[in-house]
Parts: sequence; structure tokens; C-alpha cells
Amino acid sequence: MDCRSFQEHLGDAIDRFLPQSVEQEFQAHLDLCRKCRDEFELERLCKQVVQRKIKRVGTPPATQALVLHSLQEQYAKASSSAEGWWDRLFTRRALVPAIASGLAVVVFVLFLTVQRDPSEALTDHSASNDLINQSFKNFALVRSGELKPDFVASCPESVASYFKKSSIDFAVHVVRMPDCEWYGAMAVEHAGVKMAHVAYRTGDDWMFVCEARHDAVMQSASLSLPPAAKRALTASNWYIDPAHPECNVVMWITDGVLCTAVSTMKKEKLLAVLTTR
Amino acid sequence: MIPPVLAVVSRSTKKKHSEFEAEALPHMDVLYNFALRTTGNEDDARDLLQETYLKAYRFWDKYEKGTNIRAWLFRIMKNSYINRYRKETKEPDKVDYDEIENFYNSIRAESTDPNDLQQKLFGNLLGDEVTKALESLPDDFRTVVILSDIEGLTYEEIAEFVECPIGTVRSRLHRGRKLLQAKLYEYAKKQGIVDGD
Repeated sequence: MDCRSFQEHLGDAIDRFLPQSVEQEFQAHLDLCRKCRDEFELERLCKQVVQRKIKRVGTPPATQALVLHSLQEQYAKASSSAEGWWDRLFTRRALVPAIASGLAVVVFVLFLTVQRDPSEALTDHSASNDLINQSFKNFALVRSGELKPDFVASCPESVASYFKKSSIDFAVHVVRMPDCEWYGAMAVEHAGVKMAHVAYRTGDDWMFVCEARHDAVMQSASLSLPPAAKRALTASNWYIDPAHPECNVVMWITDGVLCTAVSTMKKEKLLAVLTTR
Repeated sequence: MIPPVLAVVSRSTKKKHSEFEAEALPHMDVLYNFALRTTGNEDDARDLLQETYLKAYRFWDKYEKGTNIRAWLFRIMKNSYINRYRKETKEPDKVDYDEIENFYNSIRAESTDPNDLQQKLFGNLLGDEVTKALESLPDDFRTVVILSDIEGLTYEEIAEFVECPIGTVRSRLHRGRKLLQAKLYEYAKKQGIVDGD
């Protein structure tokens, strides 16, 4: 191989795309020719410097929110111009909150009549493998920005599509919030249990929901629930946890999926949001 | 705070919207990084990213399903960048091969131990200086260096992204890196990491 031919393959060698058929010749020339060797080393070093010194950064949250907001605006424009009478009937701004409030009252009454248990041990869940504790920790990490969702979108359908393409093998229930700035999603597996995490950001409020197959959680030796939660879920499919005064924790079962929501929203608002699913 | 938007949902647009978000949004970080390295500041990168996504959303019907979505988005960003900034920025620098040749000669002349010298040369540079050197490259060269050395794309992928033959990608990458070496050498000289001639 001469210098000219070496130059033609220089980039391939640095980027590790050098064909096997010329590897030996290339190496032989590299060992013999000082000029070409210097050039090769410099170019390789240049690539290494760029890789080491220029770090990839994540999209800043404000920029991400701006993009999602712009898309939401486009979406709203397109939707409002295309909607039919049937859509309008069910998207009336007054109708949805009315239904939501009614359902929230029903859930709240259920909570008052079924959940109360005088025994503190029943609601105790200090275990590190407790699903509520885990959800609470993840909620705190998402809020602080330490845990970044793998996927962020402006509408719940996009998040549902994301989970369909992921390893999650159950239908993830994504709550539609009319004023939600973004929806974040993560598909993870913990101790053999597949879990879908959905984060919601709406104004100053946050909500984090962890979803997993109810039977998988119950059968898992690595996950636990406080006895009060097990009882309430069996009785009414709902449980509101009293042990976190700084935020609200609600659990419910739907279509065999156990959902755990942690939120800064007030209880009534949170229940209204969750019951519009 | 961004004012809330009441998304009135119609079934006919819901599918399009969710498809778009599921396909296009996972590539936001790659696009943002490219925008940041191309424009050189966060404000312009944000605007460019927003414009790219809005255009992609508007023209989603034109996207051929199953093809490389990242390449499609990238091309939209590249065209947006050209339309938006090229008028405002100076024409790309002419490549001064004499300067690069001198650079090589001076390196070789000083090089008693090539490995040590090369590490000394670029190893002490700060990230900011490397970023500036990269940003100062002409657009076409900078693009392939970013896609190859930062994003780790193959030549084939880069060729698809920038819509040119693989040979052109190779050539631009080689010339881009040479230019970059010259820029970095200048920084190293200014800092006294190496002796200037």
C-alpha cells in the first residue's frame, strides 16, 4: 500500500470501518511510514478529543415543555376544526368536570366507609420493597429531575403507543389531563415484575403513577403492600394511603392492573382526575 | 408558566398526533444536541428544535412510514437551519490547506515522542475550546463531524442524513477533522501548551 492508498483508507480505519481485505496492508504501511503514522495518530486523537470533551446533553426541561406545548397547540387547532357533534357532546368543558366530581364523591365516600382502620399496623409500610414506598421515592426523583422519563409527550395516546412498543405486556392506563404540560413514560422491570411508570406535570402539580399486573405484584416475593391496602383493594378496588401527609397516594385496580398514584394535588382534585379515566 | 391548552380531542386527529409523538419525540435529544452544536447557543437551539418539530408535525403525512425517522427529522432541521441562519452568518470559511500543512510540519518537527506530544497537544484543552473549534468549522464539515464523532453514526447513516454519497461523507469527515486539528493547535499555542513557530 502506498501513501495515497493509505490516505483513502485513513478515515475508515479511524472509524473502524476498514475492510478486512486491506487491514494487513494498512497496518504494514502504518508501521513503515512515519508521515502517514503521524497523520493517522493526529486524526485519531482529534476524534478522541471531540468525543471526550464534547458531552451530549439532554434537552433542557423548559425547551422540552416548549416543544410539547407547540405540538399541543397544533393538535388542539386541528382537533377543534375537525370535531363532530358526537365529539363535542363528550368534550364539553362543563360535562367532564361534572362527571369527574360525581365519581370523585363516590370514591371518597367509599374511602370513608371502607378504608378507615384503627390499627396503625395495617397501614404501616416502612419496608423498602413496599410498592407505595417505591412509588413515593420515584415520584421524588422525577420531581427533582434526577429521574428523567425515557419518553416525553404532550398527549396520553402517545404515551400509550410508547408502552405498546415497549416490553410492557398489559394495557397501560394513561389519564387524560386537559391542562397537562407533558406526560413522561418509563418501562422498567423490577424483580421480575414489569412496571409502567407515567409522570404528569400540570402547572405546579405533579403526579406519578406506577402500573403493574395486580397478580404479578401479589405473587412477587420482592414487592409488598401494607395490609390495609390489600384489604381495601380486595373490597373496593381503591385505597387511599394516610401515611404521606405531604402528598396524596391512591391505589386502584382496573382491568387486572394495579396502579399507584403519588401526587402533590389535593385529594379531591386527584380523585377527580383519576376517576375521569 | 406556559398557559394551559385545552386539547379538544377529535378521533380523526388523535391517531395522527399520537403516532407522531411516539415516532418523533424519542429523537429530541439527538436533534437538540445537533441544534446546540450547530447554532452555538441554547436560545437558537431551542428555536430551531421547536421549528423542526412543528414543521415535521405539519408535514407528517409526507413522512414515509418505516423509513429512517431520525434522518427525516434531521433533514428538516438542517433545512430550517439553512433558511433561518445562513443569511445571517458569514459564508463558510475557505479551507486553508497551507495552514494545515504547516501545522503538520511543525508537529513533526517538534515530535520526539509522538504519543506524548499529541497527548500534550490536545489533552489539556478545555471542553469549551473544543466546542468553539467545532462550531467554527464550515457547516458541511461540522455536520459530518458531529454525526460521526458525537452521535456515533455510520457513514451510511450520515450519507442518508445529509443526502450525499458515502465518498463525500468520507472526504468531508477527513477534511473536517484536519481543520479541527488546526483550530485546536491554535488554541494549544495560545495557551502555551505547545510552542508556536
